[in-house]
Amino acid sequence: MDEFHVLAQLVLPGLTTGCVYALIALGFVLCFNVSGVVNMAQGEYVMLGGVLGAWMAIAGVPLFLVLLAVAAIGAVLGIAQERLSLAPVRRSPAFIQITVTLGVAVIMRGFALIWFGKDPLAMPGFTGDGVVTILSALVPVQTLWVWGTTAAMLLGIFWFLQFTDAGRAVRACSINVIAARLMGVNAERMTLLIFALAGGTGALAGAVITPIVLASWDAGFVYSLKGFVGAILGGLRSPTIAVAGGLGVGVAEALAAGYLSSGWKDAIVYALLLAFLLIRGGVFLSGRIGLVAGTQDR
Amino acid sequence: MINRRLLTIALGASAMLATLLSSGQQASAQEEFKIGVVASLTGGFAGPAKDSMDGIQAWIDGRGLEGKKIVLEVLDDETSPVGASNAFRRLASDEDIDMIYAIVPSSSVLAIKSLASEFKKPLVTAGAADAIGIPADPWLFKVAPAVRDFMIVLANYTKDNGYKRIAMFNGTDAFGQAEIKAMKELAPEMGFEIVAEETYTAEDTNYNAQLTNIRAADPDIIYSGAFGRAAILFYKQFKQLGLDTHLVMGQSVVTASFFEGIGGASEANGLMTPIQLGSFGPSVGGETARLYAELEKNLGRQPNYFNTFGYDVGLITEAGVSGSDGTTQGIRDALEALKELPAVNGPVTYTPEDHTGQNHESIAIGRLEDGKPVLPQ
Repeated sequence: MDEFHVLAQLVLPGLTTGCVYALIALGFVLCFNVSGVVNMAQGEYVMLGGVLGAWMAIAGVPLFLVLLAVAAIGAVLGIAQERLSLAPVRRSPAFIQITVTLGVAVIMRGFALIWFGKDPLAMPGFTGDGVVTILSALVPVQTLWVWGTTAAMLLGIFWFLQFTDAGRAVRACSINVIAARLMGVNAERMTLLIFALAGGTGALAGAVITPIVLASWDAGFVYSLKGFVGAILGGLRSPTIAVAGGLGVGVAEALAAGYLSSGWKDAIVYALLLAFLLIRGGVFLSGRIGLVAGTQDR
Repeated sequence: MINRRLLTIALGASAMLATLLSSGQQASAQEEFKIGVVASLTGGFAGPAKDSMDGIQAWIDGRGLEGKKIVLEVLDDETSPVGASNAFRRLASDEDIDMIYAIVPSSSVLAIKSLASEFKKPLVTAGAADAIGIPADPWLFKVAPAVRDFMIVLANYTKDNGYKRIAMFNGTDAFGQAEIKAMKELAPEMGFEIVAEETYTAEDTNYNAQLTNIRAADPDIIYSGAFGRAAILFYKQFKQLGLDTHLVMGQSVVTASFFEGIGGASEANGLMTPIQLGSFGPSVGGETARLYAELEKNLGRQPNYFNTFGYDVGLITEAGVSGSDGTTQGIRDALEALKELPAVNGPVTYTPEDHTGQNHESIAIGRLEDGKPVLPQ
């Protein structure tokens, strides 16, 4: 195997995993920008999308309906999370709001364990379980679905934020919610919209990647962690950098495992994050200012 | 006079009734034998733990302890050493509990081992890591062969088949690290070399990097110690990358969830695995065949490896309790005195220095055919 082949074989699967991290990172940033809350349950939507999708596929539900149902359920759960757990504590300190999201994450894990069981769930690839050669690397055909779906979702979200009235209202809330309210924007409705969007896209990502990585009730925590790294790289502010950060985390851990040590890959990824934060400096301060401003306005 | 006679009769009848009632209660209390169980009901080891518990239940249903009613009190360690320690403490602190099972992976057993002598309750455990049985804790008794025993069998297989370059894929947990450590000691003695050592954590889902490194090392045999979801993903990605190197995987792949995950039992046809004798069923013969048939009857279906392990836990308990004076110290002493006790997966022997139980003579390399291991011809 030549060096390019090795590099391709590491990077392309890393990008696939990075797609999931990127969507989770985007979810973190959108939720934080609009509501001021770091939603630590973000990764559990991916997990739920995976187990739900696998369960429905095993039951014989047509693929199109599986994906539609999973996205809809994710969106509804996002709304439920915002309404039932976060709205009541909107004026509470940030650490209480984050703790509430952690509690929601635990509930979602418990539900998945009880309802879907402890064993990993497999789902057939959308167009079979074969492999395809890309840049001399062998990747599952499902990889193309992951890339395509992720690109479509990201483009859709960015189009929504840039070119629709609702999207502009969301951006207005993230910049200055008081001004947005004065301009007639219903901030609570925008928060609901974003939680629905984050939940729906997360769940859909989970269903799309399950044919490659299986679905398991305990998979959400690591997704949340890795996606959070991507979000932090964007300062919890920039959706674009958060997406790039999520993709970068996926590639970085694959390269670390391939070229350095498979046993140290997680440590290397978190060490890089630490180095980035120390070098950049002040990222937590600007994050805190945003959170304080967000809760004060509510 | 009549009143005094009536009074005497009444008092005598009351005394007899009281004696009967109290002896009945004593009989009920003596009949109960309470076993505390720390089991991985959730987490990565949940599959093997459930199958093991089924094996234990089959032993209770078919054999049990003569004159005693077995009561299990089960706590979940969530496949976490911290959870295992906490659960063990709770159970071991209960004076009503006579002995304890730990149906948890090696890393959790090792966490419990440090507490075993503090509570002085006989403890029969799962786990394969060598450090569980040696050095011996006076109160902890392992069942399955040590990791080193499995690696001895694998090393002999590698040598006997003329393989010179082996690649290892192991977990970062105690079990996985014990495998690679044992193989590093055996490889030079057996005349082959380890050309790749790749690891994974339980949360990993992408093994492309590890498999790419393994392929680049050009081994002629690959051993994967992965279990649970990791085993399914490793096997699928191994196939997807088009690797055709001779593959051996750990015995924990012989489970329904592995076969479902890879798309059916036939997808694993030809896969080799070092596995304990009980999994081969009646074809092995001897005491294994007899006890296997007994287990199959009590279980109501064909047993898998972890069912046989659970049954062996019960057989060891039976021998320990029947050879004791009924006290926890007595049970401990009786367990330590067991020599060549017949069990489904091979004879069990304990010594004061070695509480491992079974050894490499209870293991053979099997080839999977439609989900069942068969002895190669």
